[in-house]
Amino acid sequence: MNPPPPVPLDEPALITAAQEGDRRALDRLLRDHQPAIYAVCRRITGNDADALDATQDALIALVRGLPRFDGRSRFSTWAFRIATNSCLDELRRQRRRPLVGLPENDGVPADVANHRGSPVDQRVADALAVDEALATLPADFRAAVVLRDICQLDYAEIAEVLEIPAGTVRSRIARGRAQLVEQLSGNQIDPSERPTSAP
Amino acid sequence: MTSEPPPLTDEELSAVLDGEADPDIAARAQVEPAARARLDELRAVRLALGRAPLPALHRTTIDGLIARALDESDQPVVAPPVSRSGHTATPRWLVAAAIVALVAVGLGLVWSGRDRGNDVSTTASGQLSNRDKSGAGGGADGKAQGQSSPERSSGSPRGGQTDAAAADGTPRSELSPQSTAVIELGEYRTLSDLRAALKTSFPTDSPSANGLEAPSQATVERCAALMTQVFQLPNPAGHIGRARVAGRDVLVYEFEAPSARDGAATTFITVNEPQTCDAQLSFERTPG
Repeated sequence: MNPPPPVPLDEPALITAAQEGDRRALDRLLRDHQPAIYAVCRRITGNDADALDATQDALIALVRGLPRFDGRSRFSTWAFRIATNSCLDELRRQRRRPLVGLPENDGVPADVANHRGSPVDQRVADALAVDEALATLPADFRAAVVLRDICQLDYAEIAEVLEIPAGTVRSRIARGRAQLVEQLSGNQIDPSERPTSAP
Repeated sequence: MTSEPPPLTDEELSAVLDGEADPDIAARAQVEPAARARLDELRAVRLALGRAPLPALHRTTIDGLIARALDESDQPVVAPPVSRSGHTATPRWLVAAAIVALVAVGLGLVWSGRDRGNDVSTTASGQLSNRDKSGAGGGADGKAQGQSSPERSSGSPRGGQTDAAAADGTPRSELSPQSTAVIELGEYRTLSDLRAALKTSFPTDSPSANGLEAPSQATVERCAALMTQVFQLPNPAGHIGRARVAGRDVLVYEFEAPSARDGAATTFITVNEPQTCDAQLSFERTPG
């Protein structure tokens, strides 16, 4: 019996093989893009559980939609579009989980260990600060900022992902970043005092 | 006399940052002090987003995500069941991760059970199910043997068991084979009291809390998987317990892990709300 052919290494061939039913190629394709999909979902949804739900939905949608992918855009752009829609769907249907902490006046601080070996507080604080700041943005602004600053998509690609004009992309990113500046710096300056784009 | 141009807007400066601005705007942003200052602020936000750490997914979780997606490729397109509130009853990644973890645990239990000649628990309560072997007396015998499982769990070396599970090719789950029994830790007034009880060891002789419903294996494994992932723990949970704090059930997990402070071997403990797996308390127990 002849051994199965090796899984293609370049992405176009991988996509073609996956579309033709090669399960190993599909597995490789999903694993290659899963980290970026999860990163987008984690930043847009803001918590691990919703991010995993959205990631799972995105991977399933990607598999189901693969036969229709025609290569006109980059595969990653198409995957991000699916992931973003999955996240926005998740945000729309999520229920807020109660935040539970130590009882008041307990007097015993919770030790949150960070097993990467770096200072506990700073890494956790950085992640929490970013999550909290992103959570203050409207979902549409958050998605635009994440696609730009996490996924490194250009404005045209983000416009394609979000199905909005490039000018709207530019506006949402700018307004999202401005709001993040206020949140992360603790600056109390009213954002309305900053110069804004002409109406 | 030409009037000064209006100050650059956030939208223009943001576009400069992204390389999407007109050349004249980009040039102005480099020379005007206010524009440069604002550009620095926007750039700092972009850097913060890029540098903020993301929890790494455990291999088991990733495998579960991929497996579920691959399985969906074989199924006809059917809308997933949605509850009345619009929220799916069981997160799909949990189903996938639970399937992978349960298969791994089941395989590990079969192999270890053959070697030891013991019946091992498949329920989180620690009560053994001996119906297949003992017939009519299975219920009572199961409960009696269930009470002995905590001693077995606490006494056996965790590292060896988990290494054995990995060495024979079975995928590691977030639970070591002998840790699937949930130890009853009793009732506590506050989390502080629970922490004090766990400070030196995992109590195995606490009185059982009567009338409480045992957590399901899926719940136990789901929270274990999430804690392993969130805290990037290298080993599965060695001990698992259930306690009642201020009238609310919590799950308690013990993991062997390097200390975040100095890398020395330590025991990391999390206390979790069963439904959401939210960590209500976590700390290191330093030996000595």
